[in-house]
Amino acid sequence: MMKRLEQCVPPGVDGAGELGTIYVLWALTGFNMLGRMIPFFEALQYLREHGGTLFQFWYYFTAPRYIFPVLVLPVMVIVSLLYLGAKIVAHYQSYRTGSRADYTMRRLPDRREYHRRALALPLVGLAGLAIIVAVTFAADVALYFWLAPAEGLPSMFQWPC
Amino acid sequence: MLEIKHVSKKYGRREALTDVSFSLPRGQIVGLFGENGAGKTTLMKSILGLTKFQGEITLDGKPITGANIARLSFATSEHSFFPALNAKEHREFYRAHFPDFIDNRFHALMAFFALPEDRPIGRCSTGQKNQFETVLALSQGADYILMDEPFAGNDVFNREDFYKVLLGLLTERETVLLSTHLLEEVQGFVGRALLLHEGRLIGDVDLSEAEERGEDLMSIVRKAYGYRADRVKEALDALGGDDQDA
Repeated sequence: MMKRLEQCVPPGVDGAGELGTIYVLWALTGFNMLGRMIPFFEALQYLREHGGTLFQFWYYFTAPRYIFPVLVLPVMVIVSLLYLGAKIVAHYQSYRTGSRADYTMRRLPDRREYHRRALALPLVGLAGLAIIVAVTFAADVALYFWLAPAEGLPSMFQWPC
Repeated sequence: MLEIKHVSKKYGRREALTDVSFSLPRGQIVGLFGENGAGKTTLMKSILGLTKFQGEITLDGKPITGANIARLSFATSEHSFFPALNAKEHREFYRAHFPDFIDNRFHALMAFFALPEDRPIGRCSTGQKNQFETVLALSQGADYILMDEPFAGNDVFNREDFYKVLLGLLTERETVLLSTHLLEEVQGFVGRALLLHEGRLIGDVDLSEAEERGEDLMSIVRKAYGYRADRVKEALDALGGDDQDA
């Protein structure tokens, strides 16, 4: 496992350490996304009881911020994206730190190796992040459909009167 | 056969190489000489595909790609090893990527230079780093070994020993293209000299033929570069003249 991990980062880079950081970022992003569901859940419950004009207002102006986390990114998603972006830069930079190891990497018979090692782990991190965001987004939508009053649902989901 | 055909390279407006053509058959030790900025490093980088160029470079008639790049190795004074890895880890990396890696040559050269196997190369001395760079280039199993000032920072005893070892270990299928300023040191060691001046190939000399004509590498280089032996005297005379005027 460790050996395979070492082959996914530029030679000499601490792949295990970076993967550990990615796990932590995934966990924090997950908590961040789930944490956003609590006020969303409470707001939906409150509005379900009071409904009417207030719900319409909330529905149009506030709900999208919760339901579409991609539009208003939670802080941990931004932090994770910054970290992964910085790692891509650092990986390419590592080929030129202390030597010109990029000369060796660029003359390997497998020409993809140079970019593969620089990008593999950050892209895994990015994929994990996308899954977390997608799952929590799906949970947000499910929660909304479960709790929102009928007037807040698209017509196809409303019971015919 | 490594063939360089009409290779030119510009850095902005400056011409680093202009219409350079020559070929390298197997089994030669070739010196690549020229002043700083003559284009030696650029030529090597062009051969290895590390920089773009105009012209054509082929290996046995085929362009250099991932399919045949392993037949070329490179040792550079800039160093191309991984500083955080030790010798053993480099060996593993090279074995994984270069199928013809010569294990026993690697061990023999490591022992010859008395290089540490477990210390990250980045923490070794400059001389040791140069030595390790050449160990990797010679052990890769390449047919063409390109060396760009590989001994900068090594003491003269180390260099002399190394030339002897190199002569002893190279096989008939291996060609070395050696770029260096140390003309006098390598003149007994190279069989052919390529002379670059301001990006142009101004000489391609078979040194055994030159020897028969009574010429050595230094005299060939002096002639090719228009070296004026009397310029030192002229300069000293001029300085002496200044003193007298004062």
